[in-house]
Amino acid sequence: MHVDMDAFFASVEQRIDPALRGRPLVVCGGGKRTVVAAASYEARPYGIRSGMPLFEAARKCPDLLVVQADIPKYVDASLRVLHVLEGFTPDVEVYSIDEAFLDVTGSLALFRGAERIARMIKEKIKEELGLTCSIGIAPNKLLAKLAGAMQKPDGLQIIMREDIPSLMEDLPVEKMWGIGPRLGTYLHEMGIRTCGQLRRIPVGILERRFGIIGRMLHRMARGMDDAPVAPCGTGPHARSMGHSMTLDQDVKGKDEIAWYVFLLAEMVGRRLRSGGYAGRTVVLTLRYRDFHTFSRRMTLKRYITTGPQIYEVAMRILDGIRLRDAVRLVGVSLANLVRGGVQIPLFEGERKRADLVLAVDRVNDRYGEFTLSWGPLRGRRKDRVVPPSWWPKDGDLKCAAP
Amino acid sequence: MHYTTTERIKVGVVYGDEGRIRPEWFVWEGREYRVIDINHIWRDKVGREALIFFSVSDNANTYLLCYNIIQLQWTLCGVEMEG
Repeated sequence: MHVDMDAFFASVEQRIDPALRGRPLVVCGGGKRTVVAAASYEARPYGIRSGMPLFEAARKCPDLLVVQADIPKYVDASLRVLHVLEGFTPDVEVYSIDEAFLDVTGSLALFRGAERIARMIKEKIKEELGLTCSIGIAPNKLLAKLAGAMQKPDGLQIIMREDIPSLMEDLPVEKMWGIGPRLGTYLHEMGIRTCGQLRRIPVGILERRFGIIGRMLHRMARGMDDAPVAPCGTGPHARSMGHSMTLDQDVKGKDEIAWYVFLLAEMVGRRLRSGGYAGRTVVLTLRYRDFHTFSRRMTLKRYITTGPQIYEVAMRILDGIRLRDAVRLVGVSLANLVRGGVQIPLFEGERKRADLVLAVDRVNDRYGEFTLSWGPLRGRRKDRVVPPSWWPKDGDLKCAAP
Repeated sequence: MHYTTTERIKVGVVYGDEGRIRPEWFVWEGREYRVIDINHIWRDKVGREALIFFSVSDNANTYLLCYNIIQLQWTLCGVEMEG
């Protein structure tokens, strides 16, 4: 079963302020050149979608209401939704802040069927949070996600096993979870537009063209997916952690970019340490004003965890780039992560630096992010950022019920 | 019209089932306001300070109340006035 909250951020804002209900609304970041994070259903007929620059959204709908994102509200609502879902099965996989997969196999007898569970979930979420969700029910995650997207908002769609071949026959390949625009274009170039056409391509041809993805495509075209629902804490650990930000204005000089790199490196380091991670591949992402985006990476021999360490490597990467235009977005991330694998400092200087970072972390744990930080970052607003890979922690789950 | 503030206020609260808190009325600038609807509730943390926010409405406006669980203090954070 796949549960997807409808226009989540926008719906939460409409709950909080009744004056926003029934009106075209977008939730976006705080910068001057931010993009739409979520659009209410009233805004969508104007062609407004997530990821669209705010100025473009405002041009499409002059009466558009704009609300700045306030992440703690959405995290709290997400945890409360999770609390509802866990009342029906312990097998709940949080896929993102507004999506989850449930394996309800073990609860079917108790609640008398999957459809009844779905209706009860919708009712309970509506009652407790005043929000709607769309639910897809199917034999596996791939098809459940597809079903969930078929009827939005406030939908409930069931795909039965016997309906799979006929459903897949004319289904455009881009509708499948995992086939993005680029892969979709490659398939179109091969004359493949529907899952039915994809199914008839021999697996060998797909493997020669796409490698291991080819075999996955072969299975996807048949509606096959063996991936289990991975409840919280049992899934794979994070593979990378990063932050990015669109700058208030295009920046040409590397010195100016360096400040943003430092800020982002510090945010990444803080998240790493709070999750007990260390990493050794630093990735710097830049976007020029013409939206051309590229990343460069550098892998170290040792694992690192602090903002200044990440910054130092990111700056080495930046020094090696010859900027051809002004930059509008900067991103810093750390990959090749391990958990709990940090080398104990051996030398006095390293020990002192580690103690300093620990002390700063403790102050910020107690008084809030960026209460104490490095000199160049003073004055930083205490924004909090939820990455797309947001995942609840044990501590979050304990305070889920209001 | 939106009005942002951080004013300490007096709030009448009912502690219900499972420790749920429901503000019933509050006094702001000497006037008592009756809570008709609780629109939404959410929790937040700033460092170790645990906060519960309540978006509530009376017959006219929407108010944002904040309860600091550690300090046991209520604050009025904002008012959304009609028109």
